[in-house]
Amino acid sequence: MSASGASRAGQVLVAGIYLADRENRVAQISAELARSQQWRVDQRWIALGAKGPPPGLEAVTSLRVSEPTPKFTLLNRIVRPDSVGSYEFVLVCDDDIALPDGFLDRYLELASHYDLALSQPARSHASFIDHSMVEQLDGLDARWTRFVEIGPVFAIRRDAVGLLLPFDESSPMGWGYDFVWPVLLERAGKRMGIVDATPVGHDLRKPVAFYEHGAADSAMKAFLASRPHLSKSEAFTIREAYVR
Amino acid sequence: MSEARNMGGAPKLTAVVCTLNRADLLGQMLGSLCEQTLEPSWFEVVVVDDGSEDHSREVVRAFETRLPLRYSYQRNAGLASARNHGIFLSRGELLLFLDDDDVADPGLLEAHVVAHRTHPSSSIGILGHTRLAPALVADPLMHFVTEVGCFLFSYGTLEAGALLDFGHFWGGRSSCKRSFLIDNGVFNPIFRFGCEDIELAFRLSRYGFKVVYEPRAVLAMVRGVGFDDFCRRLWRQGQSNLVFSRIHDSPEVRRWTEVREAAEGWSRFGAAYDVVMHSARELDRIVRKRMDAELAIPPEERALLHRAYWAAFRASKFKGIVEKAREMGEAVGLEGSTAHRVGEGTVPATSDAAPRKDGALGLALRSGR
Repeated sequence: MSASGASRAGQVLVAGIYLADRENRVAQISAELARSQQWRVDQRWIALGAKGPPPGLEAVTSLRVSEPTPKFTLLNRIVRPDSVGSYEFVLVCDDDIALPDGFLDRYLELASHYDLALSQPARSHASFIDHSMVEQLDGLDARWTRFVEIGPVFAIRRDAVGLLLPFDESSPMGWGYDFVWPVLLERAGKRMGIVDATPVGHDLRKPVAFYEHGAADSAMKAFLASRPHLSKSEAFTIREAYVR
Repeated sequence: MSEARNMGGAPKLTAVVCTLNRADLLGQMLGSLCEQTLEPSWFEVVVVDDGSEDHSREVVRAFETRLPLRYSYQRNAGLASARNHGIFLSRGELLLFLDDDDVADPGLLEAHVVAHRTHPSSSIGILGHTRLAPALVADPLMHFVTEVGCFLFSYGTLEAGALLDFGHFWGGRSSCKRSFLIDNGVFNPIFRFGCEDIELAFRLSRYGFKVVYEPRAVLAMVRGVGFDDFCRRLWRQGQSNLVFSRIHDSPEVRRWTEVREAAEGWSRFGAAYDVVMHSARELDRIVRKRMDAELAIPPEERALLHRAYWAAFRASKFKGIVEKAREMGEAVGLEGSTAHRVGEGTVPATSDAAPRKDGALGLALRSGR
């Protein structure tokens, strides 16, 4: 665990998983997040795979897991609701993204300014993109939406932690969460959105590359069948767009 | 202003109007949407302002009480980005993309709704008809680009109800099912002007997308375009054509974008470009003067003007293609060690056609592009 940034700042918890046996960008991601000037950043990463943490990441690697384990099952081990109460934001992060310089300060400043209890940075144009909704809209700073994808990075504000954590392990890979989350947040009168001004690259590994699309789809349908959720058309909606 | 008045119920159709610095024309478009035969509860209007610096916002505000209307501003990012912004703001089951320099006939929205009822498949889009406003019918250039050279519209051979390919999803006058875009793709933001509509339809055609022509869905174009503005428009169109052809290495796209013809044509027009442009500009000026003086235009003079327009417009488009290729570091059969020789039926080098991560064409990386 490490901390950086101004002492008067609020705290952010970064919770992520890296594939220790595969090419990843966790060192760059961790270093960029630690450079925050506005937040004290704690990082809890899980090394998934046979190899141990790479040099320099031992201190922020909270857990080593060698058995294949679903993403959100792992995340529940490091972001238990009772262990994250002191953090203003919990940033859930994959290991295959490219962050722009000064990412965390600018991103959370905009997420805060626009009152987004659940948010994520837009995906850069050069990224692998499954859902067009998350691609950067060039003329905007941010948008209040009804959709935030389950990866590769999203931030949960303190007041939404109780709504979203622990992650529902009946869909341990997270399939379907993003169509249930808007219902949970809207019922609580909270906003979710996408921050376009801080796009992240997601071009190292293709999403769902290691899983069969059909299996993911079936898992999602089973998960959604018993939960109030939005359709894709309902979810892929901008409520309001923001430019400063 | 950014929230719909009819939030409670989803409208059947959303008219998406993207605008940039055309406040007065935008007012005419919105005014025409106030006169629709379709009940206001059946539609909404989403105006996406792509960075206007004029009084567009105030113009929209004046219509708030007359239309189910939402306005959303973005910094200038181009037409494709603005339309995507509009798609995601929309709540309608159907999306009709409109331009800010057209005026809708009263039956426009109803005709689109009825046509989609006739063609309920999610993969069917509807192409409406655009005519020139009465004030523009006699304009020699507007007449040429719509009825003779077909640089702007090409309705001449279309039949009502005909099932058409991707090349007929003409922006500003076509509609489609929102869910089909949500599921299969939206506009590629690399296109700031030109090709954004056809490129999207080409990608959607992999999922069966087709367009049906509905001549009863009528718009009128009210903005005349001068000679130099139209040449610039075609130059920009050419630039987009080159990008389109490099994103999709397909014979259909090469045919539509005319990149091969550009390489060959520029070898003929290129050296004489300035002369071609000057000649056409002068002929255009002379003919307009004669018309202002209410003098008849002899058929041979009109034919000469049409030939001059044709050459100038083709040259402008080819210039855009060639210059964009150079900007991207490509040879297009003109010069350089890697250039293909022109005049031998060769095509421009297409080795860069595959998506790249590091350049502008990195946009093609995403799924389905």
